[in-house]
Parts: sequence; structure tokens; C-alpha cells
Amino acid sequence: MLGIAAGDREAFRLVLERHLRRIVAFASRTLGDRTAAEDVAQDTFLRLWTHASRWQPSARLGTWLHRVALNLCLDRLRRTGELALDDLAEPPDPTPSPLARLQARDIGQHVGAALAQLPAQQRVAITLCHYQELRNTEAADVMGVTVAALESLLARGRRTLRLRLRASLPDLLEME
Amino acid sequence: MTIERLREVLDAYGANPDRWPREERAAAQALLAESAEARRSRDASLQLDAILDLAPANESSPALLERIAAAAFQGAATETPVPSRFSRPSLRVLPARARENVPWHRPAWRYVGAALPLAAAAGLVLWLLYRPAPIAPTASLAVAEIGVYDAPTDALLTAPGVDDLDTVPSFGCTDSGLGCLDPLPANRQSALHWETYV
Repeated sequence: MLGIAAGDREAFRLVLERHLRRIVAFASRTLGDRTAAEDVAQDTFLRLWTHASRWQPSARLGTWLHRVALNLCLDRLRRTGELALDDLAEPPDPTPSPLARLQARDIGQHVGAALAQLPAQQRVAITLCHYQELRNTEAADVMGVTVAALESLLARGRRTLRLRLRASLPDLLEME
Repeated sequence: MTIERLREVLDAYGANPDRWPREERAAAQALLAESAEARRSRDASLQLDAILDLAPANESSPALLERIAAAAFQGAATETPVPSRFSRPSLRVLPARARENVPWHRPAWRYVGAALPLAAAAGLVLWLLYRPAPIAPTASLAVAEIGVYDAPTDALLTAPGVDDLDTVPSFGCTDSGLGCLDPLPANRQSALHWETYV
């Protein structure tokens, strides 16, 4: 980070090579849009380049990048109105439409669609802990919530996913 | 660790112990080892984890990295602080490439690197061109100095107010016919002695 703060281009490229894929994946799952995710990733790393001098050595780079990317994602979700309805109530379990069933080519697409339908905070919590494999304290730090609140978001999100996926993939998920 | 807490952990973090809270991991694994009910809950979470893992991960496009690097180095690089302790006039109105050609925008080490070889070359040229002035012979100068010196050493050694003739003892010579001075009376010699040395 000191190298990047001093304008070292090779150091910046090294960070890009190490973290770009993860940040794109995180933004993509959070936004459900690959193009928007790439824009978020670009903004995230440009902020790293221009603000590296403000780096706090106590923060892990991966956590910092996720936090910046999440803020950029939340800005986009606010503009689209998705965040305004976030977590006010559990949405009803939507049964996939026949058209959606036809468009879903494999299980992964079902899962991706179910994730995209989660409220943003639950989706972010699951993405950070399950897909990005951040520790619970790191994920809570990125989201600016307590670990207890993170656990609540995770549990509610996974419960909703189980219900939705059981509806679309009954053979894969047994009843508890 | 109770079975209820283990279910909460499984509901939140799934079945992979690596994702569990670090401080509860050992106790949860111990409970799993001894409780069939705990293992059933774990297996149900494992199913959901396996399905979640099937979600496609969007790979970034191959050109994205280069696009970000180019944007950073050309555009956003203008925001990079100059690593210098000295304030310089702001050049942010100019493109980054143009600013690199402005002398005061260059890093200080470039000037040091250029000045050292120039200083060494200048020193070598001066050393090659320098011819010291010829030195005059020392002996002739010394002779010339003696010729103008007007304070004989004997004068410095003679006490002021002393009559050399009167103070020269004339032992063994009392014959004025031989050029010797007439001896002074005894009382005169004593007085002369004190006048000379007191």
C-alpha cells in the first residue's frame, strides 16, 4: 500500500491481479448485473489508487476493498429503489414463473435468481460470508453492523433461499 | 455449546466449520462428535451449502484489468500525491503526461541524479586546466630582506643608557700608552656599577 501511495504502478497492478476477480464476483452477486459489477470494481480500484495515502495499516486490504465496493453497490441500489424496500418485511415466497423455468438452464441459474431476489442486506451478508469467505467479524465490519445483526441477516437469508430453492428444485433440498 | 446455539450457527454460517465464529468452533465440533441430532442439523445445512456453491460466479472480462490500470495511470493518476516535502504549483489543469514535462513536477531524485555526474565532470576539467604560479627562489628573497633590515641584533641586546666604553672592564691593562684606559677611582667604579645595572 505504501508503494501504491507513492504512485508505484507495479504495486497497483499486483493488487488488481490479486483482488479484482473477487471484487467483481462480490459486486455481481450484490447487484445481479455483471456490467454494473465491473463498473463498481473499476470505481473501487480507482479509489484505491487515488486515496491510498489515507490507508490505515490496521485495516486489511481485502476488507477495505469489499467495504468500498459495497458502498458503491448500495449507491446503485438506492438509485434503482431496491434498497428502499430492503428488510422492511420478508417478501412472499415467489413461485418461479413458467417463463423463468424455461429460461433457467441449470441449477446455478436457479440459485443465482434466488440470491438476486433476496433483500439487499441479506444478499450482501451471504455473499460476504459464503462466497467471499470473509470471517464474521470482517463481514460485520464491511457492512457496519454487529456480529449478532450479521448472524440474523445470514439466518433469514438462508432460510428464504431454502424455501425458494425447495420450490424450484424439490429434488435437491429435502424437508428438514 | 448447546444444540440450540449450534443450530443458530448452522443456520447463519452453514455447515463448513471454517465459516463459524472462531471462538465457538471447537465446542461446536465437539458437540457434533457426540450428538446425532446435531449431525442431522449439520447435514441439512450441508445440502444448502452445496446448492449455493453451484451459483455461477461472474468472471470479470479479460480487458477489465487493463482498462482499470489505464484509467488509473492516465486519469486518476492526477490525484496521486507527489512524493515530495515541498509544495509546488498545482498542475492539475494539465493532462498527466504534460505535467511530467514540467520541471518542478519531476521528483527531486531526478535532479540529484543529473547533478552528480555534472559536478564530477566539472571538477575533472578544472583539475586538468589548473597551473599553479611559479614560486620565486627562496635564497634571493632572504638576501634582499637582510639588505633592508636596519635593526642590528647587537643594538637589541644592549641595555639602554649604557656607555659601552665605561662598562668594559679593563683587567690586566693599566698602561695608557698601550691604548688602555686609565683606571677609574674605586668609588667611581662602584657608582658606575649601580648606574649600569640598577
